[in-house]
Amino acid sequence: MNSELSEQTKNKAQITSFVAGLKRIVSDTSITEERKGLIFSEIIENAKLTGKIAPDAESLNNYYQDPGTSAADRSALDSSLALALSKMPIQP
Amino acid sequence: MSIRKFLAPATSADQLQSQLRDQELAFGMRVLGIGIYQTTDSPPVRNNSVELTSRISEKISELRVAIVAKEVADDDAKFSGFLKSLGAEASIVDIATVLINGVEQEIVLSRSGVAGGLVLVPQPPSALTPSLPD
Repeated sequence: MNSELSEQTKNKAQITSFVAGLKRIVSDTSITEERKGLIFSEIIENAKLTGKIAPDAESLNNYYQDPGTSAADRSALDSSLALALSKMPIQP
Repeated sequence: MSIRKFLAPATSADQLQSQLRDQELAFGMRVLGIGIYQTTDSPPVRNNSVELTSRISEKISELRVAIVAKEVADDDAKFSGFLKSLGAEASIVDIATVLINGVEQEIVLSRSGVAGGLVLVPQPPSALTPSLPD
């Protein structure tokens, strides 16, 4: 319990950043819902987690914040999300 | 899908409310319920834990934590009055026992109104006679 609590405190900035990235994709009105689904699929595939997570923002967030998820999976998702965001047009 | 997380020990209802709002606002989660979790260690460790699910694309109103005094919790009529005092628009998320400053305390978790500006417009009465199939 204590180790889980200290992990949460340590990872707060990382989680907040991941959530902000997901929100950016979800709220981008220039991207169709179908395209968003493809982006989420790509994030999961690039993190080598195909089949473990459904390709939507809520499933990604639940998996990412699950205390049972490994630090390696979280790190892979961070990198994969950053790559997906780097390909997106910058909002005015 | 939902996940369960431990919360840091809370020393007041305000601190607990702040912890819960942090989960919702900073981490994009929705609190579904709260309770006390006890480990199987020796001696056991007890702490508050929350059940959460993601809500990246959904707006929700802020959570409120209201302490229920023991004399209110023990009396159905007083408890009913207490729930009404939260407001007609309040929706109850959970009624639970939590640890505040290491002491068990009954609380009501609620939200005020519906987030996202959803306005419920009362409909005028219909002149139609309801008809139901046999």
